[in-house]
Amino acid sequence: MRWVQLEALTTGEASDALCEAFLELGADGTAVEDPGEILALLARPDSLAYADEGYAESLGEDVRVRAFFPEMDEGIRTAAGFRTVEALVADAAERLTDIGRFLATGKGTLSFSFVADEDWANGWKKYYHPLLISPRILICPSWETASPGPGETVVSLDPGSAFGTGSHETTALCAERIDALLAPGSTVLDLGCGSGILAIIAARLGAGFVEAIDIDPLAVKVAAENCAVNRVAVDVHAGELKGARRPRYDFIVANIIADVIAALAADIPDRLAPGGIFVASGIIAEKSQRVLDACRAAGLALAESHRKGDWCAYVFRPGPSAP
Amino acid sequence: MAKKVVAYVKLQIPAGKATPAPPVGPALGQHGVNIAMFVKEFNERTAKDVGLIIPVVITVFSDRSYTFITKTPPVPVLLKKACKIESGSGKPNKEKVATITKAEVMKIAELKMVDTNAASLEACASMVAGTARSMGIVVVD
Repeated sequence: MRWVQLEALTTGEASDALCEAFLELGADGTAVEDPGEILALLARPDSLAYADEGYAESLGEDVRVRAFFPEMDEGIRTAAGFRTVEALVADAAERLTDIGRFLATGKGTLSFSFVADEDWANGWKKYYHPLLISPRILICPSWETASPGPGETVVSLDPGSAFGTGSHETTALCAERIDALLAPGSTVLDLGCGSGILAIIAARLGAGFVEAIDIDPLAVKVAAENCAVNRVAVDVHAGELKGARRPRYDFIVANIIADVIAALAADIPDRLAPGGIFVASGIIAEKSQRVLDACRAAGLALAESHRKGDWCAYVFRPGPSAP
Repeated sequence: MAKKVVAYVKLQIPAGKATPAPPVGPALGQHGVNIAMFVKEFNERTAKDVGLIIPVVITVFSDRSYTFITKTPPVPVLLKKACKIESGSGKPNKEKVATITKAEVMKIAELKMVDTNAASLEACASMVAGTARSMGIVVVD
């Protein structure tokens, strides 16, 4: 089996009308990629999302509307019965022309291609395999069998709807620091926990108390589920640093973004136990100075610098002026 | 965490009944998104709306994690509801199927304003009116 994919290059103004026309022709659903919407998302001041420079521009200006029709033995299945591809494309072209009488359709070009049937329910799994994220931690998806080496601990984690699958540099940088620096029995705060991966690693490596917080309630739900799967006791809840339950922690890890870390740096020294450790990550190289300056101003002393690709992570300790 | 966007796609799929087949599979599979989980979460969240086609916007990040939000119904769906019709005209130039007032168009524009990039309410209303005409719905004062 395969599908006919119709693809139109048009405008945001015409995209709803065109989706409706495709659905009325019998499409199984539509997919729209609108560069304007991506730019709007990236421009939102409350957004933690960002994109590589040039990414938005690389998408061009056209809104891409795609619709899919299944091909059966009898022909292409449409609302008007089984048709040939040519007849379907002709119908779609007529609808596009009609829409163009009332709305700006931009380029208004229409093309078709065939999409082969795939095992979409499982195909994405090829991107995930057991991953030794730090010397002692092996991240393993649920459908694979982990074979940990001597001294390695398995953390079971499936990729999903919260950041932190282990495959990103910023996550690996933090995992390595936790593995290297966490003293058994420490109290740990994972600030901006996402999937909870770092909190789980800390718990597995012998932390005495682990708390994980995130402003995103969805991340909190996913993190709690991941902690349960891994049978680790982590206090997961929604909130920010000021809502953390303990007055001070031996180890605070924040894998967020440079601007957010710079903004919360001033509050870190008061929440660090004497001799405590603050790991800051998610910092893109070009913004690293902002974090370094903010942490220094807060009275934190830089103890270690690490970098993978474009990403930096720093280890700070209370400075001479701190308690 | 630092979330680098690698894809942003809006799907219109049946509430409560999404499957990994197109458009979901081709749109998300290439980015390594956990499709089984997306389908399950989408169907759970939209189970109460079975029978409707729901727009859902999925943002995919560089570590292949994702978020999705369901949006207000598409403009044509709102228009059909306002006009109490099942479907638009296949030949909007010749065959008109309903009429809608400018006030009703404005009401729909106000509802859609949160989800569109329209520069102003007037621009949004003009898009709604154009969409209505493209479906064979006559816009009257």
